[in-house]
Order: sequence, then C-alpha cells, then structure tokens
Amino acid sequence: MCGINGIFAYHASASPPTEAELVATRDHMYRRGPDGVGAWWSDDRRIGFGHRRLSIIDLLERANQPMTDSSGRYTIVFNGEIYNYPELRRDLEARGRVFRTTSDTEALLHLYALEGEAMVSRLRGMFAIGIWDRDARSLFLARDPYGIKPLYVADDGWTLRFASQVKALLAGGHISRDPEPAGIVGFYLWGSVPEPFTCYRDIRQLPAGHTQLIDSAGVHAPKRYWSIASVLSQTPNRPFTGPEIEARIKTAALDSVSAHLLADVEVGVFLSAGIDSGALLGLMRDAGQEKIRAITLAFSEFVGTSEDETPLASQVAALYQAEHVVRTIDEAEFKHDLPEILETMDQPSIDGINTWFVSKAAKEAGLKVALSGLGGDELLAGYPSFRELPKWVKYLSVPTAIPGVGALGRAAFGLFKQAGLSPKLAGLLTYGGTYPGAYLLRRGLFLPFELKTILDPDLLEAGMRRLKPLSRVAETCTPDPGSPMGRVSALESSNYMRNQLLRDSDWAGMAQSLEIRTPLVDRVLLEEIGPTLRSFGPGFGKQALAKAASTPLPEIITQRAKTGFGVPTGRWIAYQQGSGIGSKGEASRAWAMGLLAPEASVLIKQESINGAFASAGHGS
Amino acid sequence: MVPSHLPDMAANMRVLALVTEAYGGRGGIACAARDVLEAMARDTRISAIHVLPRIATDPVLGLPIKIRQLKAVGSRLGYSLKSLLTLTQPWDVIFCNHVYMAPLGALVARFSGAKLVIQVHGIEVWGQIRGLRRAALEAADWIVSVSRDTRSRILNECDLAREKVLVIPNTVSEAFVPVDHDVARAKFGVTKYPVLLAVGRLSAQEQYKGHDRVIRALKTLLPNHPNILFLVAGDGDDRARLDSLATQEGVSGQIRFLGQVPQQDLNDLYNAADLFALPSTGEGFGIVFLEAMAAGTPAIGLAVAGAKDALADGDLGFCVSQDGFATTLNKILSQIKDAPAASRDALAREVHQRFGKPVFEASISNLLTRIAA
Repeated sequence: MCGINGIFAYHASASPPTEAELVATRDHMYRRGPDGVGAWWSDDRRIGFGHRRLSIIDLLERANQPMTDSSGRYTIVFNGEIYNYPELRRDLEARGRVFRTTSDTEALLHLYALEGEAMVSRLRGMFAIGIWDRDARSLFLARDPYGIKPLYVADDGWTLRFASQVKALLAGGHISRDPEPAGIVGFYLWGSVPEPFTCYRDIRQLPAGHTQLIDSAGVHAPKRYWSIASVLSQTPNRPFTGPEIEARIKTAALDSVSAHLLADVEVGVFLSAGIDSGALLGLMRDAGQEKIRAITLAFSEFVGTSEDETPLASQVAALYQAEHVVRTIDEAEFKHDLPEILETMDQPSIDGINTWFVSKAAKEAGLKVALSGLGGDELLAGYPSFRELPKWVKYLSVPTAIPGVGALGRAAFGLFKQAGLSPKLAGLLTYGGTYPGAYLLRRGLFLPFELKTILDPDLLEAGMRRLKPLSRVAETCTPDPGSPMGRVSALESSNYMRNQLLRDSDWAGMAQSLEIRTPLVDRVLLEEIGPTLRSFGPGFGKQALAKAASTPLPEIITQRAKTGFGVPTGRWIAYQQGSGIGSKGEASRAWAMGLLAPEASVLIKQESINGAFASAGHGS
Repeated sequence: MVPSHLPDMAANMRVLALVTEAYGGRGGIACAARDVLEAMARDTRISAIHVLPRIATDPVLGLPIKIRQLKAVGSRLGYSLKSLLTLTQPWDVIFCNHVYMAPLGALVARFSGAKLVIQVHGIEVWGQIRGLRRAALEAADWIVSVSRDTRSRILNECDLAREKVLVIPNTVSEAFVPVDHDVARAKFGVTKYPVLLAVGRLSAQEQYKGHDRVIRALKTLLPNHPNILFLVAGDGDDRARLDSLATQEGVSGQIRFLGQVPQQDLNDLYNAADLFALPSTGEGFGIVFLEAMAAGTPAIGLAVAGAKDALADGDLGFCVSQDGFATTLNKILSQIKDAPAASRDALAREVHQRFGKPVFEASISNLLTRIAA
C-alpha cells in the first residue's frame, strides 16, 4: 500500500521530465506512504518513477521501490498487496527465479519477465502497477480486477503521467485543470465521479480490470482482462442447494480472509453491528490470527438509539475475544476535521466521512492495516436494491416502453413537486423498466431531468453527451449475468462499490496512512460464489455469511435491521448548510451542492470545479 | 463492410487522400499534407496513394514514387462526386488533411470499409465543433493533431477515445540549417545588433500573429538597443495597418517590410536574424519557429496554443506569457547578444533531433502500424 507515480516522455519531440515535477507529485502523496521514499530514472531520463512507501510486507529497506530486477531490464512501482504472493513465489522459484527480498513487489517483477501482460490473470489482490521494460522501451500499467486501488493517467499527446491520486498529478504543475463535464455531471448523478472520468478533462482513471501499454508508438487503448459481469454470466452446470451454497460461502470466505491476513504487521478489523464485519472477525479467528483489535465508531448523538452500534459490536468483539477499541466522535471533531477531509478527498464524494473517522481511530490505535466488510452487500445480495430492482423491471418494463409515459410522469412531478412528490417516484415511469434505468433511479443522487435545475445548460449537455449514463451502466451488466441477483450484483459492484465505496476507502484510509483490505471484494471469492447467485434470493447469502465462522454470529446481529457504518453527517451537514434538511438523501444532496457550488442559488458551471472543492485540495 | 482485400492490408495498403491542397499548393497546410503523404509513400506497407485536391495553384512538377495526384476540383459538388467515383477502387485508408474534408472522408470510408484518418491543425477546430464535422471526427479511426493544444481542444469538443488522437507535429525541412551569420546578414543588408525577424502572412484575419505586439515593444527596447531592426517577411492586407502603427509608435525607422521572400532565401533570412519573434496567440503549431531555430536562430513566442510545442515549452525557444512581453524581450536580447556560434549549431541540432524528418517518418510509421493492426 503506497503512493506511486511516473512520467514518461514517450514522444520524441517531448522535453525530458523534470525531477521537480516527479518529486512534487510523489510528495503530495506523503500520507499514502510515510515509511519510505524513492525515485528512479531511466538512463536517458525519458521516464521516471516515484514511490512513497507504507511498509507492510518485508519491512526492510531492500524492499523499497521503485525496484529494478537483477538484469536491470525491468523496473516497477506498485501500490497494493498481492495476497497469493507466497504461492507465486514458490512457482517462480521452481521456474528458476532467484529472489533478493521477501516482498510481493519482487514477485511481480519476476512474473512480468516471464509472462508479460498476461501476468495480471495470476494475481490475487489489489494493485496499481507500473513496469518499465528497458529493452522494449515500454511502460505497462495495470489495475486490479475490482478497482480497489486507483491509477490515474494523464496523457497530453507527448508525455504520459500517472499517479495514485488526481490531486497529486495536478500538484506536478504540468496538467491542465480544465474541467471534465462528464465527471461533474457524473458526480451529481451518482454522488461520486464515475470512472474513467475525473473532474479534470486531462486526467482519466485506468478502468478496473484493465491494462495499458505505452511505447514509442504512443499510448495504446486500455485492454480489459477481467470483469464482474463476465464472471457472473458463466452459467453453472446445475442449480445449487441451500446447504451447498452455505458450504461454498463458508469455505470461500475463510479462504479470502486467510489470504487477506498476509502481512508483517498487525492486521485489525473495522467492526460495526452488521453481519459483514462480524463475520470477518469470526473468520479472522478461524484463520488463526491470535491478537485481533476491532475498531468501532461511537457517536454521542446516537446513544440510546438503534443507530448506536457500540453495544452490539461489543458483544461480537467479546464473542470472538477481540480487543475492542471504541472511538467516540462528535460534531466538534467533525467540524475540526472538515478542512482536512476536503483537502484529502481526492475527487468529490458524498460519502467517506465514516471511513475517515474509523481509519483515524485505527491509526490512533497504532494499526497500519485493517479489514473492512465492504463488498458483502454487493456480493451476497444484501442491499434493498436486490429486492426492488427486479420488481420494478418486472412491473414497469411494459408501461415505460409506451411512448410519452415517462414524460407524463415528469410532468406530474412538475405539477406536484411542491406537494412533496419525490423525483424518484416521478422517474419510475422513465427509468424503472430496465435494469440500468432502475439502477440509476435507485442510486441516483439527482435524476437526469433534475440536473437542469442545478447545472449550467452547456455543462449539462456536454457532460451527458460524453457520460452516456445509461449505456455506461448497461456496459457494466454486459454480458448478461443471467439472473436478477446476478444483474444487481454486477451493477452494484461495478458502479456504487467501485466508484463510491472503494474510492472513499482509498482516500480516507490513505489520508490516515492506513491500508484498508476488503476480503469480500476478491476475485477468487467472486469466482467461487458468483455461480451460486442464480440459486438464492435476497437475505440468504448474508445469513450464510453469518454462519461462515466456526462460531456463528448471534441472532441479535443476524436479525437486526441494516444500518451500515452510520455517521450523523445529516445532522452535521444540516448545521453547515442551514435548516430544512430532513432525510439522509437531502443531506447528501446538500453536501454535494456545497462541495462544488457554495452559492446554492447559482447554476453550477464548469469553472466551479476550480472553486471550492479544488482549492481546498491544493491549499497545502 | 469489410473489404475483400483486408487480409493483405498490412503489406499492401492503398491510400486515398482527400486534401484541400498538396502538390501545386502553397502555404503550411499544403506543405504539411505533402510531408504526410511522402512519409507514407516511403513506408513499405503502402502500395499506392491517390491524392484528390481541391486546389492546385502551381503546376505539379514531378511526384514522389507511389503518389498520383488527380486533377484538382474546386467546386464542392464536383469534388464530392469525384470523391464518390473513387469508390470504384478499393481503399484501405482514407486520409483527410483538413476537417473540411472530414464529412466526405467519413462517407467514403464508410462505403469503402477503409480506415479514416483526419489531420487537424489549429484554428479550424478551435471553436465549437458541431454537426457533420463533429460526427465525422467521432467516426474517425485516428485523428492526427499537429499539436498538444489542438488535440486537447478536439478532445474537449468531441466524444473520442483519447488514444485515437495522436500528436504528430509538423516537421522541419533539412533545408533549414545554420550558415555563416555575417554572410547572411550582409545578404539582407543588416549590420547592426539586434535584428528581430518575423515570417508569416500579413492578413487582416490573422492579426493574432502579434506583429503589432512587437512593434509596440520596439519603443521600449530602443533605450537599451538603439540600433534594433525588425524585419517582417510576408505580405498581405494587414501591411498598411502595421505600417501606420509603426509610424504612430515612432518606430518606423526600426522596421523593414520585406514582402514575400522566396523559399530559397528563407534559410539565409533566418540566419541573418538575432532573434525570431512571433508573439502569436493563434498558432496551431508554428512551423516558422522551427525553421528559425533549425537555422540556429533563437526564437521567442507566447506560451499559448500550438506555439508551446514548437518552442518545446521553453526548452528550445523562449516561451513567455503575454503579460510583460516587452520586458521579457528586452532581457532576452541582452542575454543572447554574445551567444557563441556553437550555441546556434547546438540549437539547430536539437531542433532537427526533435522535429526532423526521421522523427516524423517514425511517427507516420507508427500510425500505419496501428492502422494495420
């Protein structure tokens, strides 16, 4: 887990990159890697790599990066963890490769030397990788299958730059800050900036599960090597029975948790009162981890309410003999931390505050690594969307296909919105009939027809044209996963989880120099459990996970209504924005408006991105 | 539609070039088209290039091997019909040297199943791109932009995969090289220091070139450089305005309008100057910067649009902001006064290394590799 960056002047007309730029970008990522720092240049100085290290595997200096292999041909910068590194190492040694360190980074170098870009299909873990091949004069970039680790790329036609953070790239001083309308519109549609877009026209995210090659011919198109929908679309030979599914979830979840414990430092866990984090804790115990510290957030505002997770979390911690660390946050601390939160928030997001505080608590406890239950709802049909979307599509596919019905619904919204008609209700007749449309309706922060009330028309037109929200969402559900559960799982995992939850985990965790690991977001786990999704409905999977540990979670946890890692941000934001905010949805909208357009009465224009949010990030 | 000859495409590509002008044409766009066509023709994977121009002002005297230029057709309708008539032959690549040709090129490419390559330069794609032109650009397989700035603007206007828009800068001719500075100065009758030079059309529609910015700066340069002389090569309907501006500023004695300078004298003219100055705000690329620097003469331009590329962001030439241009110019003239001849040679070498024919041909070869892939 680290911060990586690189500059490659691949075009013969380009000036060689400067040390000052490489260092400025690298050191903007100080929080991602406070334990070590490195820089490397090719002999002709046409390419340079920078690295900031958070030491987790092989803590010695020998494992510092950038790392060059013994032949001098390959040099790597790598952010992430390769959980199957021990097996890979055994295999590579059997094939005659000699290791100088015990780091997973070195394994990647050997693997690339032997297998080239096909190496990515051998990796289990989270990663963003840059590898320079001196002889081929090519730069290879790769990002993990789910997109847990970020990798942002800026290509101006002469020089390609990459880094783990958008703001780090901007800090280098050579990339335009011209806004990307698709990123801005995407943020208002979803509450997070959808990949591959960022808020800046010249910076793109390398999509999850993709590789990219840059050589003297220039920048080649990103190449997909894995997708969630592809895995889910593979039809199993037969339906699975309940006990078979439970057994499969038990085995696969334990295997994933075991793999995610690979570290030379202590691994803790974020613990709420939900099933996912409780199950992880039980499985950590089953995997043989002796000392376990579990971190739970508490809020004075929640005391005595059903949202207070502390009492139940304490019971779970006690059940698995974990050392329970409860950290209480209040509004004063939120207000105190807010400038820092905005500064470290790499792209605008309506979430992540919870992860900020739980990571802060973990860091205070001296942890460098913590497991998170993120991904359980997407994998095991835990969200209400797994019930709602199939119903909407079933009942609305015919009415929404009738010309004019959608417009009628929107007109009704226009007439009755003063009476409190929800825009989402109005949108049902426009979007409810297909999975991508229904998903937009379910997860949308603002619906497309609402955006004209908050965004400048030119910005909106340009953004929608490039974003193509419905077809982009449809792509994430292609090939067809073949079942309602599979479709919703693909949609939730490839959109909300990837663009919102995983991005928030990265910036908020890294802001505290904490590596957040997500055993329920794992390629091997999906490949094991994915085929069973056709055979169960909402609720079953999560209950099976609750029983995965040898000591199952108690009923008081498994029968509790879902709340997630709650933070009373609604109330706190209401304080910031003024009164009149009643629901969580309204709070999210207010937060989103406040990030880019402090003056709520003004339509958001392209320049807004260079206003409040961006300046908060560049002030340091 | 997949052309039947596709399997052999990689080794035997046939190119149809729909161009505004190429052979027999004057000016930068025609020159840039010829550079691309000749680089393609030198590639072994190309078997034939047929060029259909709108304009051929001068007689076409001899064409490189593999290249055949059809008779120019001025009218839009006639040109379109003639383009469609070419569909009787198989094509692998349709090359358009200008966005004006792009919609027609897209149509021909669609019917022929060929790959579409569109070259873009500068101001023709700087505004809003809409309608057929945008559709054609978005249908292109590859867009070749002469500068990073133009690429960026295209990406801003069109919904295109970024990897499809390549930057292939204009190339500088081997004819531009350092020669004896004093001999060159004598040829143009200049003996004192410093000599500023600008080369380009004096068009009322191209006032962005910035000649008036230099003229206004002259007054402030006089105290430190009383013998300063500004040579302006090129002609056009803006000359009278510039002339009267010089009078108004009281610097008419410091300016000499040379009119159109023959191509064969340009290298000597560049060599006669101490500093090439073109503070333009509208260059798609600015080939004249390269020509000057390839002749060993330092150049100054604004860090605006394509000029940044020709000046290599300040690595090759002086790439300055509009504000305080005169002050910066003053400083630079003092800096370069005693520059040794070796520094002129070094500058010329660096320019050819970055923008010379070998680099250009390698870029076109890479483009063909991608087309054939």
